[in-house]
Amino acid sequence: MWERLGERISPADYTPVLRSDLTWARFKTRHGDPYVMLADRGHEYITLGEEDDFLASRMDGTRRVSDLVVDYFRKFGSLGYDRVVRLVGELREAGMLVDRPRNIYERLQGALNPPKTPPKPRRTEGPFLMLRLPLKGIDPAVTWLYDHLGFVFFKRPVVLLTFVVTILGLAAFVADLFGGHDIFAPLGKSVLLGIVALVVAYYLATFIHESAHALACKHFGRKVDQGGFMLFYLMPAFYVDTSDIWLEPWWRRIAVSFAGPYSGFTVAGACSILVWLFPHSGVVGTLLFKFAVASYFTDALNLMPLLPLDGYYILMDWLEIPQLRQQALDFIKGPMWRLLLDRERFNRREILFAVFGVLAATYSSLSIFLAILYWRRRLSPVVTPLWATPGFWAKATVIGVVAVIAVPLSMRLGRRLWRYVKTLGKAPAAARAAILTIRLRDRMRLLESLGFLATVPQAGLDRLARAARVREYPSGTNVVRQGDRGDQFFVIAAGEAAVMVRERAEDRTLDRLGVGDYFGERALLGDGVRRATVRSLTPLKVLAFPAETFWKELAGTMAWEARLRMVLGERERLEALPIFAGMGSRQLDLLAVKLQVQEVEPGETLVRQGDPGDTFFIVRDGEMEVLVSANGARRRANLLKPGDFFGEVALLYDVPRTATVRARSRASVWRLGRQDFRDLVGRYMGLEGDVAKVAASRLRRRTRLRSAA
Amino acid sequence: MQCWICASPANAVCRFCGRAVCKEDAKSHPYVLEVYPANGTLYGLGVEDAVHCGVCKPGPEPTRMEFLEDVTNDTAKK
Repeated sequence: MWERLGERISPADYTPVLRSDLTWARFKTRHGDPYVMLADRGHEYITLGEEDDFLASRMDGTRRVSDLVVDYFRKFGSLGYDRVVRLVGELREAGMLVDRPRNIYERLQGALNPPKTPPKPRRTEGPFLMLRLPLKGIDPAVTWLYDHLGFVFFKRPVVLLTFVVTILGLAAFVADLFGGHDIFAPLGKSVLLGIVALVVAYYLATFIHESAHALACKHFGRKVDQGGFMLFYLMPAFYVDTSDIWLEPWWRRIAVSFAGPYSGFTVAGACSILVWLFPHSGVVGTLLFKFAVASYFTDALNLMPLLPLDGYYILMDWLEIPQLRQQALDFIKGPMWRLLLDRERFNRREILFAVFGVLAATYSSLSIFLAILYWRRRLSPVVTPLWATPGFWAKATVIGVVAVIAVPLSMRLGRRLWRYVKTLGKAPAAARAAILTIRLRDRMRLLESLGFLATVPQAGLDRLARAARVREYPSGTNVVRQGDRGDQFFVIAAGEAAVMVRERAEDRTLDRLGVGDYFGERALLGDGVRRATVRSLTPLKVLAFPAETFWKELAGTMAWEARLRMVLGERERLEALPIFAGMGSRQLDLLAVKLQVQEVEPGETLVRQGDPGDTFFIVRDGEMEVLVSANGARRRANLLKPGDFFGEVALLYDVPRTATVRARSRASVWRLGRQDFRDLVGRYMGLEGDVAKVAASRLRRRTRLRSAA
Repeated sequence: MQCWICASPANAVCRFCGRAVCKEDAKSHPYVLEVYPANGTLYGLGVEDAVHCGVCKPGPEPTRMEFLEDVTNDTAKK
């Protein structure tokens, strides 16, 4: 019973089953790399690379997590523990597996700690700066529109015609502007009517723009489930949800993005040509010109890539960097500063993120103030003449308009500005804290990279990192001297050093140390006397830990020093093997602890053909021969060298060994038992930090909203 | 008893697995004390901050244990 219970609970035995109603779309990038878009249409869209596609395709209910690890190993030649575990976790979290996550403890926490005020039902969606009033289920209407009219715009002659109109229209518009046409010209003799006409023209332009997106999406056979009205950075706008176009290749996605501005330019072009042809057409001419202005303004703004509008989507699809804005903003918040402080070189993608992120952040902040100016400009021409109009109703209307639009906006903006002011007030302290955090992060990074500290809890590492002193030594300095009483432990942060022992009045170099290496622990563990001299070979920067801290934080860990040292040594050897390529240091640390070394004498048989097997082997040293017996004869089938492996099937099933493996010379192997293999899956699942980090950068793509602001 | 994590004197025992932990290393985790059916639904008594060692991973979801039926039946037969 306990065995079955263990199997049932073990993550290694979890059988992920992908939902059958998901949509798969296989593509190639512009550079020819294959990838898959896996979609829970209308909800989640996830990009899978070749390896993830291989794994996801096998989540059909016939394979457990451990099976997937072995399948991956057989296909790609490396133990993809973390990849399998991460992918399963992400798919489950995205609701793409048959059994959805139901965390009873989270729900219990919610039940024991209910929110003080129940959330009010909201008619709007999204954050304040992207507030939406959605209209759901519009796909049948869009389909009808496409079938009865929209399809015409995608016929070749019509596309050609619109292109000509767009080009000529732009020239005509310039001519109209120089011809003395005024954007704010009165309509008839009424200035107010002229302004109202411009506002109506603006909304008509955005409606056409959005319709073009929807029709283009429909042209490629995709759904448009949602549309509506939104306030985009306080600017009124319409929007349509064209997320389903993720299931099409990049050039079609760009086409859908471009359809909106293009339609606007075409219609504005047609209006401009008419105005140019009939310059004295009175009210109609004024209306057409206003419409052209509104369209050009709207569509030119939409091609600007710094806000998540059409231009941004075009850029993102062209560069094939999903979540470009989010990734860039995340980059400038933290990693960029770390690289700058470390004086590391930026790669091409990092340069792109830095430039785009800084520009986008600056523009986003500016756009709030632009929005205030926009509303002021919009409201004052309406409000001022109305207020001057005699009579009660005119003034009541003004008060109503101000109460409905200006007051709530001012309050919300006021709150936001207040937060900014408070943040600015705290800036000096925050900046100091940020610098400290960065330094602390570097220290943590250094400490985390030390395999022997793997068992020290994060809180302990944090305390240790805070307690460290940074010391710098010029080249050729003795950092610790043999025979001195030691009271500090050191980790090298930069530079190189040599470990030397004085024997018979001569210094003998035992070892060479570099970044991430440590020294001084012997003196602390032993009688407090340094047993060797450590001399800097280059300018050296070290983290020094006072004895008190060392004992407090690491005494328990050091009790296993010998074992940990061995693990550290083994880890270095493992890292060099192709089978563990792509494994992070933490994953490798976990694996190193589980792998056991077995020495084999020349001629000794490690596994025997026909025997049951439950262990996987990797050759560590020496040579081993694979012997196969058949029809009473034995022949040598293979010769295994360091890095070669055998017996991976035994990690899953009780199958008899298909060959005998015998040491040809003195050799050693790493062994991984079935139970350890299963434990590792569970332990990789415990690396939540890594999973969350990778999940954030994973190419998951949520809704893609087209809005014209 | 010593703390599982830092080997200093332990102050508590994990409610889920029995590992001993000191105050500094102890974490908290919601825990179900008792569940009982009433009025056609399930009710329970819970603790929001039971002691958790942070090492063991309480399964976040109920696990099917139909295999226990065999054991129960065998016991009943005896």
